[in-house]
Amino acid sequence: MLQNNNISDKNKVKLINNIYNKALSDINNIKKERDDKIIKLLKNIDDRHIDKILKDIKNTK
Amino acid sequence: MDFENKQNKIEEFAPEKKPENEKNLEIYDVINNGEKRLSGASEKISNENIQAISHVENYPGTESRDIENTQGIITETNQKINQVIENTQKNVREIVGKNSETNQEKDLNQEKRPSQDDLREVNIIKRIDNKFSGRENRDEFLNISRKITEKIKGLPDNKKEVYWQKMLSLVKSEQNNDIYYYKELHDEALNELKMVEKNSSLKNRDMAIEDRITKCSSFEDLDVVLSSSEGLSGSSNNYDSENLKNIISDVKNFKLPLNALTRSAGLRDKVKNLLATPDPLVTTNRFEVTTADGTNIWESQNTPNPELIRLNRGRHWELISKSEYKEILHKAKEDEIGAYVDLLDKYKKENLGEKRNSMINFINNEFIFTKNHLGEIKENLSILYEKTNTPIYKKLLDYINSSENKFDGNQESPFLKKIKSLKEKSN
Repeated sequence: MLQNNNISDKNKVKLINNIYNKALSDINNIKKERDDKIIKLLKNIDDRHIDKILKDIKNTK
Repeated sequence: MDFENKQNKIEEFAPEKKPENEKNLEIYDVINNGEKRLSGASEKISNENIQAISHVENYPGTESRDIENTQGIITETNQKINQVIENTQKNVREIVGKNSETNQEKDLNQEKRPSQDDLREVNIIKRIDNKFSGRENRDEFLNISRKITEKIKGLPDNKKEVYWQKMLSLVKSEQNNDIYYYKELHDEALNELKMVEKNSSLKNRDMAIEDRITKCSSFEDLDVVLSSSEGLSGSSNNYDSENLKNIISDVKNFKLPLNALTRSAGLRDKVKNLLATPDPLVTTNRFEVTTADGTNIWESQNTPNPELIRLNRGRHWELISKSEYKEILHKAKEDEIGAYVDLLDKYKKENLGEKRNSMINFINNEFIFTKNHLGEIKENLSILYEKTNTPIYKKLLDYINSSENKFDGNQESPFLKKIKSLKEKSN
């Protein structure tokens, strides 16, 4: 728990700014994490799709 | 939780806070500015989430599980972002002092705080009210939208997200103002809800019956249990009790394969266990199998299906396929050979190294385990045993005599392989 009574208004502004900057940085990291997961998922779909096509080609031959 | 909800929380947090005096003005400017930045970032992510779902949906080779996985990723992302926003606002409140001054009031508010779904619903309805303001069919849109959001709230958490996103895109869309789209979404959510309820009740039903099926010790017991049930839901079909009984009857008489039965509620496993029970009218074959643990008596029985066999490896009867049976026998042969190799090691420990080495040399050079060489091998073993009186030669001789029909004339013996590897180790 922060002791707000001992913090000056100037420091409060600085601290609040830091908190929002940290939040935006966290959100950015979450976004990157999400993008990585989606890319990985699409790659899996690709791999599976290619395997299936190759199998189909083999069967046709 | 999505942008709508986050937006709601942000709106709820920032604009109502007015500075008590001029000194605080700068602090509230910083807060308002920060909230705007958070709001912008979360809106951007929310829009990207919708695009991501749509992208995966339209991606070549996508299956339904991929869409479910994407929804899972989006839900997780939203939850994390919501957590960041909540923590940020909590920390800011602590700094401006609100938390310490109005703890009691805040606790009370938290109790009354609307759920995340309620907030989404209110926000969507508010947007629709604005969007259709002054239009003739405004009430109809509002009415149908309330029904949709109500249905969405009834869905389980993992199903909700996709519908909230659809509702949001419908509200944002400039084109889909036709009541038809709203009705379609309403019916879709309703069907999903019905499906969820049905699956849930089927699951409960199957769980209840599973316990009773597990306790069955005969086909008669199983018949009683199934007769008193409403059936089972399989992975692709639902079966009523009559249907199941007919399939079981055919499987029991080996007219249908086991996999014709659903695995649900452990039914296939139970029928497999019951079919493994030996038939008193069928001849039981008994044979000795030597493993590292000693010699055991195994029993086997043929079944009307030439591909299936009943086998008892000294513990309990099981129903296995012929190919499994071959594998088991092969493994048993390997174990048997292993047991003799262990015996050779035992001789080493008893300081009979010389005998052991001559034995390995002999096996390595002469002892090719094929039918072509068996006569020669047996003759050599007999001579060796007579001359040295070493039990290992007798054991090997007995082993060959009892297993002669197992040897393949064309394949390299696994025994030889084992011996070779043993030799390599001893080098």
